[in-house]
Amino acid sequence: MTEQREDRVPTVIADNVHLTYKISGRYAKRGGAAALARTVMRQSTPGMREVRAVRGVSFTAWRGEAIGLIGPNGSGKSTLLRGVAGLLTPSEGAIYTLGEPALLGVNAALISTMSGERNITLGCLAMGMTPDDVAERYDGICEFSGIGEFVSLPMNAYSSGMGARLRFAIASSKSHDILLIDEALATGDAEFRARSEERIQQLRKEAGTVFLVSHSLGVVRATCDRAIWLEKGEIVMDGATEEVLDAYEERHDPKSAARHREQRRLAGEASAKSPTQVSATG
Amino acid sequence: MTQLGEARQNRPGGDPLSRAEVQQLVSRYGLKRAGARESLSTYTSELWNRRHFVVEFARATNASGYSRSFLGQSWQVLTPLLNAGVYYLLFGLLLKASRGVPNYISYLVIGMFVFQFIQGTLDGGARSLQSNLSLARTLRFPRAVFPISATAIALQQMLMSLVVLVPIVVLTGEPIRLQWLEVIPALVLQSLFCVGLAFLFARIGAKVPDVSQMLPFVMRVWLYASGVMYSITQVTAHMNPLVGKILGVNPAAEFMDLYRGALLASGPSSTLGEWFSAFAWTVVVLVGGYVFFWKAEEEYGRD
Repeated sequence: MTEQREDRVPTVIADNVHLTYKISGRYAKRGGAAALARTVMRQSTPGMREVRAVRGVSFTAWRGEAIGLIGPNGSGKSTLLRGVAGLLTPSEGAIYTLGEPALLGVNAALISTMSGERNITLGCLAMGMTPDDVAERYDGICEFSGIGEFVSLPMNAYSSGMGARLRFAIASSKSHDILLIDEALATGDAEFRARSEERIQQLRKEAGTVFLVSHSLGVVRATCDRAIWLEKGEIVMDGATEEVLDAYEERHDPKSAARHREQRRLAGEASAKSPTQVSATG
Repeated sequence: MTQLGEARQNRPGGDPLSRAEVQQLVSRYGLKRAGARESLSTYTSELWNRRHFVVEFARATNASGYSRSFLGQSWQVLTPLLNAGVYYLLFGLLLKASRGVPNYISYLVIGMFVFQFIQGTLDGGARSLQSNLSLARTLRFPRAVFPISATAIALQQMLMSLVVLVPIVVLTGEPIRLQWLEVIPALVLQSLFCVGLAFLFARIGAKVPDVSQMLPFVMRVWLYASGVMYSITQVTAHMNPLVGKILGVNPAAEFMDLYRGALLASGPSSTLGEWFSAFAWTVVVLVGGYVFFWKAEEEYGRD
């Protein structure tokens, strides 16, 4: 099966990526004179603090893959996604993408003071649709988001779950080459989660690559065929979802790891090999 | 992708590729560095594809700006009307100023409205990237959309001001004449000039947030230097002729003179030289501003 590598199309290649946040301002050297001097000299200051969120990550994502990024808080998952989206420039190494990535995050509000209707129109136009396209897909987006008459209210009147649903509905109305989902499904209810998982599968079929950051291992198990485990900005493990998640649970949540082992023993060894067969819990 | 099924059966992770392998894949499949800036021509055509977005975004932003006030969008007419009223009270009734200008009230109000268009674009442009960060971070599209929308919002205000301006000009005794149509090319030139300015200040404002604190002072100096409330030629008549020349090439003053030449029969008409000079300013600022903005495209919306 090794010859498959030649036929697969890479969509994201991360080559020894280091991502660093520069914290300036309050935490840097104080004083107007110092700030002015910095501006004039165009220097980064010794007082500037750097946070190395991702250190030396390498992976290759292929077309049609759904990759779950897992790891404890602060392990650099979201930062890595923002790097892939092109919103952060690696301080070392490089990220290459085939096509335009779209990032979908929890706090990535569109325009919160505007109504859902307007956000749908604006979001679709911003993604490069024509007004005709938008009119055509408008109803589908409303329906998928399932927010009902709330669509005419400004988005800051929405619950976080409704906001996330609408954003996901807008972003997924168009097939993306690379869709990056950052905890966006975490706030949805069970019914919406099931629908969005279906949509993710569909997007993958349309020759896209999906990245999913989630703390819910159940969602990762149900939607992803590959998982990358990050810890303190480094990859601990990269492989088939089952393998990685089992190892991850063994480390961070021995209780549910034991439960899963038990379930699998009951279900028999055969089903354990195929990731999609395992029931999603959590 | 027929191999999809088998590919998924593969060990998905695999070993990390060597740098040479990465480069080979990158060039073979034509991958691009994440967030890399497009060439100027691709960028421009991407921007053209988003023209509906620009219009809709400007309209929506404008509406939401007034959504919390009781009178809503009627403020777009009320603001210039009240402005004109204040000038009339202050300069027409209280100070009885004319400073050698025949129809001083119209002269002043035209200057003020033209300047406010420039000021509106500068303010809006400088803030346009900062205030739309979350949208910019969610979806990728040419960031030039934001300064253009900021200009479109200011332009809409300018159109309302022109509507208010017509009765003022007529009431102050100016005849209705064909030359009023010169306002149209003046408005087109000024709008393009303003887009260029918005590009310039959008990039500066994104890099140096302190610019929005500085702008009011810069704008005030520019306002006083532009001959909004006095005629540059009259005031500098007894000075070194160089002073008048220098103040005269100020683009804001030039645009004001174009509008005044069109609307006021009591003053001189605009010469071809003045039109050409305004045109030159427009081309330089528009092209320069666009390229300047595009050069930093990769940096907008970053931390």
